[in-house]
Amino acid sequence: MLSEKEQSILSIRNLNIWYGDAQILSSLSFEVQQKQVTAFIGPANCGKSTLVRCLNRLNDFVPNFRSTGEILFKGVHLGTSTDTTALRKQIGMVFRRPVLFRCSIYENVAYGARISGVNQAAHLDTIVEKNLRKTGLWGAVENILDETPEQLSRGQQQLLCIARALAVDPEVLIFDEPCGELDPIETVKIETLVRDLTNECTLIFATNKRRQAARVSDVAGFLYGGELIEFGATEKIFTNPQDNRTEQYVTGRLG
Amino acid sequence: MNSMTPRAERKQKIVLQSIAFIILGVAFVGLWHELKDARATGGQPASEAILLSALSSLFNNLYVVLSMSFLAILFGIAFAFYLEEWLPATNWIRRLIESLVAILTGIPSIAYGILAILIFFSYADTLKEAIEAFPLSENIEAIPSQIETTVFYAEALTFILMVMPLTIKTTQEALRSVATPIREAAYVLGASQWQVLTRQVVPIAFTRILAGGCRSMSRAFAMAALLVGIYTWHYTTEPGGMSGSFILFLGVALFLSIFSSTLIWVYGSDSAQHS
Repeated sequence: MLSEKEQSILSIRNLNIWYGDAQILSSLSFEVQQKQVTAFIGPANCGKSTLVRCLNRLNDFVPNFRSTGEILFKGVHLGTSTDTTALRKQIGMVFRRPVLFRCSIYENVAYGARISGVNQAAHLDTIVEKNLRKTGLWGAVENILDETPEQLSRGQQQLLCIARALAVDPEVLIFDEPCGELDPIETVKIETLVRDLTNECTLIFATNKRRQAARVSDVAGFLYGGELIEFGATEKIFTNPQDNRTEQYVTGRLG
Repeated sequence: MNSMTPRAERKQKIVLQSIAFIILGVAFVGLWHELKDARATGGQPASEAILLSALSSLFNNLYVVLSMSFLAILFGIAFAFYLEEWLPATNWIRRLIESLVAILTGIPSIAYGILAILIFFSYADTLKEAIEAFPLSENIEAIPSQIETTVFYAEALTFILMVMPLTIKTTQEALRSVATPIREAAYVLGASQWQVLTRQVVPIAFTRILAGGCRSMSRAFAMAALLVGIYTWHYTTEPGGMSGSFILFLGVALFLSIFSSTLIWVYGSDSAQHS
């Protein structure tokens, strides 16, 4: 009997992806364990974003996108008949650049609840406050909830995006290079938050910063040229890699 | 899904564009020949005087111009939403319609006016019968005089043909101006396509859609003004040769075009911010 920590929530089996004629990912197979941080590292254009965007079917919007293989979420195959709206409520995502809607800070966080049909003011207030507190943003925005988020700093905007994603109560939260445009202090805040979030959801983290992956993740995968070169415990990947290319990458000689 | 190299795609575009061009060409040339034959055999040629008197009663009717272009704009916007949001970019119907729209928007409005006089007016009676044979039109209240009914349908067709392509094009451009990250940010929170459209896309694109609608309407009014102007200058003895409706239509056309430019100028940067 497996403990909760060791159950896999996402299984990827022999995944191949093409954009038009160009193959982006080839024969990927791995398992994502519950309540852990799984990081994907690799140089630019190695397919990290494509891979994580597959998991919540965001690639469906890309013309000429084609894939083979299986993605199982909690044992169910994500095929053409999957209800993507329901799926994306369970698998949330935070992008590289903070994208906020043109409404107040409050409405941004309440967005997920509103589209699910929650309308009672008291309930919404609780959701907004709870999630802003989780991200440590409550103190800074408590008095400006009704104003637009444009006045916030980049890092605060990104935290707001995370709060918005958490407000949907996802089981899996995907981070696609969330610190790509942030300064070191803001990056530390996000990394700390990611570690804290393992208590409530499973996290998938794509980054091209090696040290960052080493700091935040439990399990890491090294992608290179569309192939998953190595996948395993972070400690092992960074201290005792099996593949020559992984070793070159983590020591900074490749990519 | 089919994958295409840029070259094959270009080839396909050229083919579709040619098909669209041929369809339009055949339609125009065919109707022109029909019309000429009708005149030669003494069928039912509308004489110049009848045409022009019809024209005057037609464009003096501000209500008809307004309501028809309004309807055409509404349908155009709805159609553009369907094309842009529901049909994939590779769908052949969408590509053919986009080719047709590209050609039709390039035709100057005076050409539509001539088309209206030459073709739709000559066939207005047939057209009217065809429309009235359609079961739903029983509910349409009969318009009193014979000439006005026929003219009404001819006019309606002209406006639809002139206003719709431009509306479709501007609406599609407005929808495309909404950046993908905004849509994706809403989708990953579990929003459905309809929710993304009503909560994100339409609020951002609204100004541009409105401006596009105004532009199309302004075009329709400019054409009406031109035709009324030609008519009054040539066939009336009014001093000064300017009729009230000419001034009115031209004024409305100018106002609408200035209004649409202002909309884009004032609020356009707002939607560009997100792209």
